Amino acid sequence: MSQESSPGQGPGSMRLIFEYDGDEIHLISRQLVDMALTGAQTPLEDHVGKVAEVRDASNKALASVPVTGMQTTAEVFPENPGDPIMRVALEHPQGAFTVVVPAPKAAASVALLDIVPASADREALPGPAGPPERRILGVFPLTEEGSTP
Amino acid sequence: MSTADGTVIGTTRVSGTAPVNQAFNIVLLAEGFQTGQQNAFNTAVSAFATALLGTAPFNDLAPAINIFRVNVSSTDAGADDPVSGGGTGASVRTYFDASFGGNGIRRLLVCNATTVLTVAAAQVPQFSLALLVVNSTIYGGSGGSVGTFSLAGGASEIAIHEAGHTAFRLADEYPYYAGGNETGHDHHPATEPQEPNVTINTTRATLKWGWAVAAATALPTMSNPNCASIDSRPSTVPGGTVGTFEGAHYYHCGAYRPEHDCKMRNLGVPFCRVCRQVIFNRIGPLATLNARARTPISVVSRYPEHLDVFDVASDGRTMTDWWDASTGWGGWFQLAGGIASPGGTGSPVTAISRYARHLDVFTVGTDNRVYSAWWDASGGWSNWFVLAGGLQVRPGSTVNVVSRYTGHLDVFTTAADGRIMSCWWDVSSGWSGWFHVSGGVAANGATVTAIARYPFHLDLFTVGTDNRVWSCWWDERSGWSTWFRIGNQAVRSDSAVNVVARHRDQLDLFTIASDQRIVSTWWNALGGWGSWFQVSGGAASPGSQVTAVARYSNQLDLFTVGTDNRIYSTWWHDPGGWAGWFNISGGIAAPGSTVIAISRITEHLDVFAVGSDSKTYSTWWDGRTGWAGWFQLSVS
Repeated sequence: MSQESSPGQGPGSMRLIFEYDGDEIHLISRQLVDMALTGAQTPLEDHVGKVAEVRDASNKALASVPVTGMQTTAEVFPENPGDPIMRVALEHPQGAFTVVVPAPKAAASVALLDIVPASADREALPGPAGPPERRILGVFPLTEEGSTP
Repeated sequence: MSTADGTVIGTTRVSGTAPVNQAFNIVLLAEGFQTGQQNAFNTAVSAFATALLGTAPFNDLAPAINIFRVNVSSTDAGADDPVSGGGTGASVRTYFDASFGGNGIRRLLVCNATTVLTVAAAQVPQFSLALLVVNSTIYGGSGGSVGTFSLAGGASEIAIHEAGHTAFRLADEYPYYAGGNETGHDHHPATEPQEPNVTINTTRATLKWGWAVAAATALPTMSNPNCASIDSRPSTVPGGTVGTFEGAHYYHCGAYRPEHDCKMRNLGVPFCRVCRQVIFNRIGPLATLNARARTPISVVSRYPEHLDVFDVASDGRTMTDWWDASTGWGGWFQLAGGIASPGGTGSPVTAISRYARHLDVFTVGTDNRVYSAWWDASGGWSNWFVLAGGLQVRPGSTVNVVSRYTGHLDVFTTAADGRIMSCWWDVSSGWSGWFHVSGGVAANGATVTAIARYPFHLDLFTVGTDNRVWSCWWDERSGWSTWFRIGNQAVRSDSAVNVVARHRDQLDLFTIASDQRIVSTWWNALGGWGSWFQVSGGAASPGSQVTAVARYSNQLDLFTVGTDNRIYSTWWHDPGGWAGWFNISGGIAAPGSTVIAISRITEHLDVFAVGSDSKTYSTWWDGRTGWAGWFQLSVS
C-alpha cells in the first residue's frame, strides 16, 4: 500500500461541464480542482437517480457522485405571496450542468448514468422488483489521449 | 447577444473566510448590468448574502460558506423580454443572454447556462453553486444547474429555494403540479422518491426521517380527505411538529412531507427540520469536528481500502466520517440524528462490520438506554432503535460488541447498578433479551471487553468492584463460566481492559494500573495466565486507556496518551521483545483521551486521537514510508 492511497490526502477532484440538447450530451470542459467533495461515495448498486460514475481503465467503478441540473421541467414562481408555485414541462430541454468528481490516479473515464427503480416500468407485474436499471447516458474520457489527470 | 456583449471585470469575496478548497462556495454573477451599474449588482449580492445567512441552517453553517460576486459588464441593461412570453418585446445585448418568457411564461427567467458555468469555473474553480443576478425589476427566476433571479422584491427567496434543488437535492414539497387544478396528480405513483424530504412511506420504523419524529406524533400526521384536490387546511398539530403530512412531490395524495410547511413548499417560510438537516449534512462535513474529548473514537475497516470512523461531538451528536481510497474523506455527518449520553467520559459510538457491505453501531442515548442502528450498502443508514427492550445503563456507558460469525452479534454493557449485561442478535432469531452475565458486577466507570478467539467461544474482561481485573468465558459446549480474578494487579476503576488474540490460543491483556502504569499480562493454552508486568516503563495520562493492535502473530503495537499528554506508541516483536515508548509525529492529545488504532493491512496502521484543541486527528504508519504527520479529520 503506497502513500498515495493513505488517508491523509484526498484523491484530487475534477470539474466537468456538460451541455445537453434533448438526449444528446457533450462534455465541454474538464478542470482539475483542489476541492473537498461532500456527497461523493463508493458506488452503491441500489442507488437510484442520475449519477456520474468514475471508472478505471478496465471500467471498474471507483466512485459516484449525484448529478443535478439536467432539467425536463421548470419551476414558475408566483409574484403574489400565497399563490402556488407551478411546474411546467420544458418544450425543448437543453442547457448545461456541472459535476465535480473524485479523480484518483486510476480514473480513466466518467459514465453518466440514469439509474431507475426496477418497478418504474413494471408496476403491474407480480413478484419482487429486480435491481435498478442502469441506463447509460454517455461515457466520457477523463484524460486527453497521452496525458494524465 | 453573446460574450461579445460584455466583459468579465473581476471577482470579489463578499462573505466568508473559509479556505476556498474546503468550503461551500456560492458565486453570484452579474447579468445585464452596464459598467456604471455595478454598484447595483454589488448591493443585490449583499442583500442576497444577508438573506441567505439569516436563513436557518445557513446561519449556523456560515463559517463553512463563502460568497463571491463576479462583476460582469454588459453592453445593454436588463434582459430580453419577448412578446411571446407576455413581455414588452425588449431585446438587449447582455453577456449571459438572459431572457424572461422561457417556455412562453414571462416569470421564467432563463440564461445561457454554459456561459455562466464556464465563467464561474474560471473565476472560482471550487464553486458549489452559481446564481445569476439579472438587472431587472420584472419578477422572475428559475432553477436548475444555474439559479437565476431578478431585482424584483422577494426574488432572493427563489434563489434559496432553487439552491435546495441544485445543491442539496431536495424535492418540491408542494402537492400540485400546476397550481392544484391539474388532472392526473391525485395519487403519487407507488415508487419511493429518492429525495430525502418526500416519501410514500408512513411506517415509523423505516421512515426516512424517523429520527426526527417524536414517539407521540401520529403517522400519518395529516391525511388528505379528498384526493381530487389539495388539502388546504391549516395544520392540526403545533408548528414545527415533524411527522408525515399528505400532499407532496406534485401529488395531492400518496406522498408525504415532513412538516406542514417548508421553504420547499412555499416561499417566505423557513426550511423544515428535515431539509435543515439535509443542508447541514451537505455543508457541515466541510468543517472539522469539535469532539467530546474523553470519549473514545471507534473505527472499522470494512475492506482494506476503506475506513469508517465514529466519534461524538462536544454537544453529544453521534458523528461519522469515512475514507475510501477512491473518494478520500467524506466529511463528518450526524448519524441518524443521534445524541449520546454525556455521563462519565461520554458514551462512544461503537461499530462492527459483519461483512463488507454492512455496519452495526451502538451507543447509549441521553435516556441512558442502549440504542443501535445499521448501515447497509443497499439501503444506507437506518434510524436508531432501542435495543432489546431498553436496558437502563450507567450514564456514559460503553457498549461493546463482538461478531463471532456473519449472522451473529454479542453485545455487552453495564447496567445502572453495575451488573454486567449481555444480549445477542442472530440472523435466525433476531434480538434476545438482556441477561446478567454470571452474576458479575463492574467497578464504577469500568467497561466490559469481549473477544471471540473462534466462533464458538467468548472471553470477557472487566474491572471488578475490588479494582482488580476479572474474566469469564462462554463456550458453546459448556455455556457461561463463573468470573475469576486475573492475578492481584490493582487497576484504575475506570480502566478498560484491552485484549488482542495474536492467534486462537493466545490472549494479551493491557490496562492501566491504579498508579497510571501501563501493565500487561497474557494467557496461552499451554502455560495458562502469566504475571502482570509494566510495559517498557510506560504510564498513561489520568483517564486515558491503552490500545493494542496485533498486525501479525508475533507483533503487537500499543498506543496511549502519556502523563505529559503526548501520544505514545511502543511495539513488541518476537524475537526482540518490547521497544521503548516514542512520541508519534509530535502528537499531543486532549488530557484523559484515548488513542485508537487499526491495521487495514499488515504493514499499515491508521491511528486516531482527539487533539489538545478537541479536534479529531489521524495519522498513519506504513512499512515503507514510516510515520506520517497528523491531520485533522474532515473532508478531502
